[in-house]
Amino acid sequence: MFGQLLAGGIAVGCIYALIGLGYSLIYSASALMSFVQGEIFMLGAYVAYTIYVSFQIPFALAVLLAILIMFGFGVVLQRGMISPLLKRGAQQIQIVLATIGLSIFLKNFAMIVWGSDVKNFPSALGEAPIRLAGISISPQQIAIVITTFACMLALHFFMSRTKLGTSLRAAAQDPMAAGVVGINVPLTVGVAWALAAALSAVAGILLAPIYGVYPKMGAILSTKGFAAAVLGGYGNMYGAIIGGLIFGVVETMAAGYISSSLKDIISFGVLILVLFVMPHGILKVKAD
Amino acid sequence: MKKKLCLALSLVLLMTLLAGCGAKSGGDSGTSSDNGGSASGGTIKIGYFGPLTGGTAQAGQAALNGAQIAVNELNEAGGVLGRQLEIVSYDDKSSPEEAVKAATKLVQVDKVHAIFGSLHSANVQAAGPVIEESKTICVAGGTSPTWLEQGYTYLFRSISNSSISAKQLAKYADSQNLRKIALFTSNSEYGTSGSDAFRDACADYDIEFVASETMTDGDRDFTGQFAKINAAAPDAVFIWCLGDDLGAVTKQLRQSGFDGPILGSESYTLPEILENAGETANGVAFAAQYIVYSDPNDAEDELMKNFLERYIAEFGASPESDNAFRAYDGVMMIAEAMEAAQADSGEALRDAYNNIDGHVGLAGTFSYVGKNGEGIESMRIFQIESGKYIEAQ
Repeated sequence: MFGQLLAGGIAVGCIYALIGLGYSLIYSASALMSFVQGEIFMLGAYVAYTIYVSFQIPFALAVLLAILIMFGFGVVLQRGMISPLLKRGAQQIQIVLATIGLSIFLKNFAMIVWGSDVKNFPSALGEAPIRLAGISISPQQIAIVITTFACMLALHFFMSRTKLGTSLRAAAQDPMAAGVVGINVPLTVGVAWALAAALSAVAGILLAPIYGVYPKMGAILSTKGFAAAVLGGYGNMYGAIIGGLIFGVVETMAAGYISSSLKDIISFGVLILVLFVMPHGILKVKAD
Repeated sequence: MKKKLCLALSLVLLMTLLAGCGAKSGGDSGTSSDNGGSASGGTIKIGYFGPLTGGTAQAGQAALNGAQIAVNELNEAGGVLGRQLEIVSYDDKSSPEEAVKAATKLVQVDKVHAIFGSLHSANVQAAGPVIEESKTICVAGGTSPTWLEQGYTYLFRSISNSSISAKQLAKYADSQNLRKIALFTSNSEYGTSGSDAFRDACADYDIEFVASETMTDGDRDFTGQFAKINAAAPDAVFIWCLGDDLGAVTKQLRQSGFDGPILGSESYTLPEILENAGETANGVAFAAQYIVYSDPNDAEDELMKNFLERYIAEFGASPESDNAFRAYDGVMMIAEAMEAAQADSGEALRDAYNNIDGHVGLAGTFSYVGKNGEGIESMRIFQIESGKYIEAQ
């Protein structure tokens, strides 16, 4: 049973990590908090569903298109809503409220466009579980783990090896100084928001075959992704990954060994406990 | 100035209130001025209240459509007591408070002769006193046993209550020799009452419960629960969750490695679950009154087939919820009682409804004699095989 729980916990933890990464990216690039990540996750799943199932476009192409569209959505969100609000003198709290408002808007928007019922997103890998040494894993879970690690590696190389990534980190540390040395700070901020949206969309597409696609799917995940980011150290990329995995495994173990009804109490209890001991989360913010 | 503003504001408020109360009248504008009660001539008004907006709007709309099919059918055959029927409908927004408002309006303002509504047991319960006081019969589709245990004499149910389903499933489990059962239920009222009813029903048989796990409605990760259930190696898993969650639950249970029989709640009748769970739903058995067939030709029952054909012809698609059947049966039985009583309302109608014995509806054969508002106690066991519903022996 331990192996089964560990495998399941890692798979779901990867999803938390992807969403948590989005939160952290936005925070480190613009020192803002966005609460619309869960709905972007949901929207990503719907967009992929529409392209793949309704328009019958091949899976790989559909996924790529959906991620691109959500990347664009992130840019529009930052350029069209966040940046104008900041120019009009909005503070942190107004941005938080605006993103919460947007999340409610998107949830209802999805309800009107796609309906409130659960849509079936067939897994491109089939539904039959793979059995290995007493553990039963669905192919989709394996895809989740592989894709998440691939995303993380890509993000790591983008941040440390590319010019845009380096300037993004520089702008995150000190926007003023970065601007002075010629870094296009609005560009880097836009890219960060877009990447965050793309990551959430990837999580949504990965999870859609297991959860089904429906308007409220983002609501559960956004809190847990946020918790993952907080646990790992809000604003720290690597922290979000560690936080997500810990959160997923703790939650699953709690449900398996203690009680499923105490699952959330225990996992969020662990979060509070960790924050008591390490108020900044497991990894210190902007450790890199 | 202040006074004027105050007056203007209250006017606006009053107007919005009135506008909000506007009834959607099926058929004509509803200006007929017959004063209900003993009025002869004029149309017979059937009131409807149920959710028409919000999360359960699809079920409510299906019920209203089902009632409309019944009314159309009756009107084509010459009406009831020689008069045509019409529906007056209100949205109860799935809230007991709105249900009381709607029921009050139906009996006091529209003076309807009989009511079908609501689909939610809590709403029927809340509207009960108003309906009882007005001496208007109300046939409802809510399945919780509670509201018929309160001593109301004008309330009826056009479907079996939820305790029947558990009894039938327990009997089925025994007949299939399923001795070790794991429970997986929602931790809401729906799930707890379902699992309690099933446990009680199983007490009569040699059945052992090897695991009991719960989930929160809307949750989507059951790895922990299913690992525990699989570790207990049950013969069958009993699942009692809301329709929205069933697809994901079934799929994940299969992917966690369990391939034995699943005993499920009647929510498995929802067509979207077959689609969402796909082939993982094969091997699910559940007790239900009827199945929502998307193709009328799949229905074995002639009455059901006719109903579905009419429904599709009228509304363009098959019903999105079995509430259409509950409403159809309800309205047809109201009509039967009116003909039997030769009265369109009041005590005489109630007594005639109580005497309905052997009415064959979509749900099966109804008999209300001496049963305090309950009309049917049988359910059928259905199985999902190769993505289709088949009736089990």
